[in-house]
Amino acid sequence: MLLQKPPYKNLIPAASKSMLTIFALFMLLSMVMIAPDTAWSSSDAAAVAEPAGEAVENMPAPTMGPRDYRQIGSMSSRSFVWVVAQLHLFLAAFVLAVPLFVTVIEWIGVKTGDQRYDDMAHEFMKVSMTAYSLTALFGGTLAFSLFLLYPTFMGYMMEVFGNQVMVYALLFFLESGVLYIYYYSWYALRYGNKKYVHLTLGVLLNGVGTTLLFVANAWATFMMAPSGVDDAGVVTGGIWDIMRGPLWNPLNLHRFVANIAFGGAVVGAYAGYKMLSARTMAQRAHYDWMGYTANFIAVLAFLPLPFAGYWLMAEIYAYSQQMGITAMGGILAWLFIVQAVLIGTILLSANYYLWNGMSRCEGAKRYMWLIKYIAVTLVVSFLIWVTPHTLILSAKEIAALGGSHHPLLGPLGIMPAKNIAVNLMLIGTFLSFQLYRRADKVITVPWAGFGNALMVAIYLVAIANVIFLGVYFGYFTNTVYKVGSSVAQVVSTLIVIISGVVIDSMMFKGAKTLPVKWGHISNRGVYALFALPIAFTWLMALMGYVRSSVRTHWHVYTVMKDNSVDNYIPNIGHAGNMMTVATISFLLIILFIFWVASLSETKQALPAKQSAK
Amino acid sequence: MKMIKNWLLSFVIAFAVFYLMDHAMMSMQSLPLNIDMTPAQ
Repeated sequence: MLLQKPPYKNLIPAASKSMLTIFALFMLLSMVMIAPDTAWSSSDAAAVAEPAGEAVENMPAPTMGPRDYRQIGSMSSRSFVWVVAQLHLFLAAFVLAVPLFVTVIEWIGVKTGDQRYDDMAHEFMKVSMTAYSLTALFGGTLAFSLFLLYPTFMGYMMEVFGNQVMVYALLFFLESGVLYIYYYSWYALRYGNKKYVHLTLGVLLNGVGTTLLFVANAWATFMMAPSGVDDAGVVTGGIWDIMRGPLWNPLNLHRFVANIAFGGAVVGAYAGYKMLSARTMAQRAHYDWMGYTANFIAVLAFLPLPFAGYWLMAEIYAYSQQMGITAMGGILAWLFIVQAVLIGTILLSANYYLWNGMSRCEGAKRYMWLIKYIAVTLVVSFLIWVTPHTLILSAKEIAALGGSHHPLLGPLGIMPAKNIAVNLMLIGTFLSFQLYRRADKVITVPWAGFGNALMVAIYLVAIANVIFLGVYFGYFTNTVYKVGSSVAQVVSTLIVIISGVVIDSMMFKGAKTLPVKWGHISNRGVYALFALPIAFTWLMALMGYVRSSVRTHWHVYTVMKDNSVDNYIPNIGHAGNMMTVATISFLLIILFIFWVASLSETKQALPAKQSAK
Repeated sequence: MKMIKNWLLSFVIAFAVFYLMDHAMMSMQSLPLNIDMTPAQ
């Protein structure tokens, strides 16, 4: 194996040295940035200015009038910024996520000595590199359009965040520099101790990228739940008080995990595209394996995502019940039905891909009988999840129905039924995932019988617990119990996932491995790899819109009113069209990125005349 | 016999873990588990 030579001897001291050098440089830069007299926000600036006798009075949030808004021709400023911001977010999510799992894959390559991991990691980065410049272009366009179309609002945001925005710019420079070094030094730092220098660069890149994400999240969460300012919007705290609002960390976690799932799904589609266009079996096998890895990443990151979303919504309710009700009980509630359709599509696609992928290995036949039960569970749960509580009905239809709620389907429209459905879908998906992982293994540990019995017992008791908690506390007690028991339902699912990973890891020790025929998956199975990023992209557009819309007619909730012509929540049809425009535009951009990434491998044949010479 | 023991032990462990977890999650929210089929007060 190429990665094993030269042998990794005395690599820790050398690797530590290089890591220490890079870390020291990073810390030095951070210390320069966080010098004691650095003014971060206008409040800090006032404090710094005071000793010189130049007290600066912080300004309240301005009251917006028609002169504070601009338009490009007759185009709606909101619609323009909506699409540009969404495209920037899609691309940014992708380019921040890919290096996260690329570094892990690279590390696995070093640990296993299998060069294929290294090649795959490099190819994932190649796709991401093309997207990087587009991310920056859309970021620049977004910044220009915000300053052009909403100058007063942006002036206030600059007043609040002060020099912190320059930290973002600095981080962006760092991100670009480290990214280019990381990608272009791939083959220069490939073997021996130099590989550890390269891995350190990967860690540094992800550290900077994640910090960049958290800094930008602070702007979004400040607009939703402002902190560090008084009721009039006057800055009263330091930059840390402003950034550390009640929604900052829930959003940080949710976006971080969602980005990984999204990035995995997009590179999965790239692998599917390359696999379907492969001309040799070796190429087909390589991209099949790459698609499997990408799907693995997407599903693994997706499984805990609903719980991160749950935390975010719980914090939104805790911050403002009105805001929570706007999201889940008002006009935006219908979008959660669309969300159910999209998440259902993601889960069905991911499971379908795993079931098809089991055909790669003879050992999978042992578990095939379980698939029909998982499929029934997924479909029934999906139908329960998409059942709306309140239907839009005419008087005649209400009379025919005997009320506004259907007598049989009505109970399925409320949260307890949906909580049961979501948790069962996640447990079912994890079971598919676990069966897939077991398909190519023959477990040899002496306690295999007990391990299998324990795993089955955990599944059955968890399913019974999720159903019992949902039915009993959801329908036979009052609301406080209904909400309280949903936490125990979530933890039940988490116990299944965590115990499944732990028990399997212990049982796989010394297991006999059966051959896997990469490239033998059906084309229909590969199509599922395309369904995943399409559904993910739509879902991000949808839920991003919901997150932003809960501010209703406020630029900064309760502090700075939106007095533009667009200060209302648009109807669902209009919002749906806007999300669709953004989604289809992104998918076209992604096709362009895939094409450009493939172009670098295409070599023109020597013209006949020259070859004759 | 060993197989029966395995299954019994597995279900006892699973029931104990989930029952205790239900109690823990509800008490963290200052709620009793209340499985006597009466509405909470």
